[in-house]
Amino acid sequence: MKREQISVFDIFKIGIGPSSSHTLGPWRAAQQFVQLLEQKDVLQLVTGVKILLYGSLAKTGKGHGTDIAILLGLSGDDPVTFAVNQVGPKTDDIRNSHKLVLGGKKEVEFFANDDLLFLFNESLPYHPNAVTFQAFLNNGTAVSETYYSIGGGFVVTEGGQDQPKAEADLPFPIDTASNLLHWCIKTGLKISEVVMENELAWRSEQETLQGLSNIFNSLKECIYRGCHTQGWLPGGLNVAPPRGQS
Amino acid sequence: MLPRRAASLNKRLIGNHTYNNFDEWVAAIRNTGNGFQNTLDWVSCFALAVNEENASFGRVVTAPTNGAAGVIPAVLQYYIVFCDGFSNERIVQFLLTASEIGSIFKKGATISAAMGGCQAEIGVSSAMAAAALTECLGGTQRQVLMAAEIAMEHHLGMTCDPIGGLVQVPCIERNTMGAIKAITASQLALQTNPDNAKVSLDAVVKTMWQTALDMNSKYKETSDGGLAINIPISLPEC
Repeated sequence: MKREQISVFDIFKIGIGPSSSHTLGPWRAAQQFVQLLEQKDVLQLVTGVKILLYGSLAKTGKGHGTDIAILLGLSGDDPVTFAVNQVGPKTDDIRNSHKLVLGGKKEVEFFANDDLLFLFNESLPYHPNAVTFQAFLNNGTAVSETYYSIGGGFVVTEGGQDQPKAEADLPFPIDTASNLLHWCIKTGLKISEVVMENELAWRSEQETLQGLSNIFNSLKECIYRGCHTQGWLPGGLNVAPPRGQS
Repeated sequence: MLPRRAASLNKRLIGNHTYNNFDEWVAAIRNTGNGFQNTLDWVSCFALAVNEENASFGRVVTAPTNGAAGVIPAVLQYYIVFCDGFSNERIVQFLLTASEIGSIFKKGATISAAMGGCQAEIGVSSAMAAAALTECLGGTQRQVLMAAEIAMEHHLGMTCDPIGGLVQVPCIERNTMGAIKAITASQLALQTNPDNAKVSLDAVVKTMWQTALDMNSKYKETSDGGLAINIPISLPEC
């Protein structure tokens, strides 16, 4: 079996809440589906889309913002950079205008009640978090793809393949804690030093430290903002509370 | 609807100490003292802050997931403030160690509550934080792995039963529990000879996965069981 390679930047990813598997993952899946349409050179032929949510994505998707994430992902917005204070306004606008601009390039009609379906009683066998995207083309054909949001924002397609990531020649391959301990004993390095050596197989030390610095900045901004924002949490009684923050 | 709690808690705990940015805030928190109850309150405050942001569609970092995003920042912030850990090198060390533990759980088990319940999210984040804190506090490699093992061992079987399908109850408070268990696990590991450990980290990864497979789907992020069916959503809980 091929070894799964996971970097520190696969584990720590900047995004938007509330759920990595139900918000960030579906968002990424929607972006990947638009990319697929572009790769197939059919984006401009699309006349409509339909999204089917299965299993846990259907059952808790509304509370977890799965629908919101999918609309923004299909629109070509990115969870790392999209302004969080625009999440509500932009998705409301899509729902009210019945217009969705795929990848920011191709406008199609969109009726959330008919085109974004929560299949509460259906589940796909590979993983409980499944979403199928369908795009209908003006030549009478359609493009369809199913994605699984397997946790932590990781997304795989049918067959369980991750989006291709550059395979690195890691100096210390690690699948288990005993592998990790083996390398520590052999080299005398600390765990963080072993991990850093592996990270350097993907990118330079400077890039790695910069990336970690970005992660820490996001962590500290989040904790600081959270400690200084009063108000109410959204959801619950389905009454939009004043958030009073950007 | 639930009120946010972190900001008012911060206000109460900080008292008259003033600050204008993150760095000054760290210094101000230090000036509130390091008594046990004060420290405990701060750790909770940090974790609540992140997960209230998360519940409000705020910008957060997966650690390793969003629902469990508060544990690692809370323990890191505890280390920064209360263990004199505010240095770039230490923060890098913390994040790298934490990430490897998360990877081991993802490879050997799961980090999805829909697959494994809350043990796969808060449990994993707590194990990651415990390991990272232990390395930063000078533990040996085997003590680091032991800390991760202890933290997960005491999350085994934990279900995911969010009320109303929202990532709020029990998720937000549960991050405070994950953080404090991580700190306790780290302290236990630092005070223990790993030669005497009965359970290895790999054994607990395997156990978590088997428990995930055995868990009823009602408790895997479906809101079909547990708190989700016992707490009417229209009542103003808390």
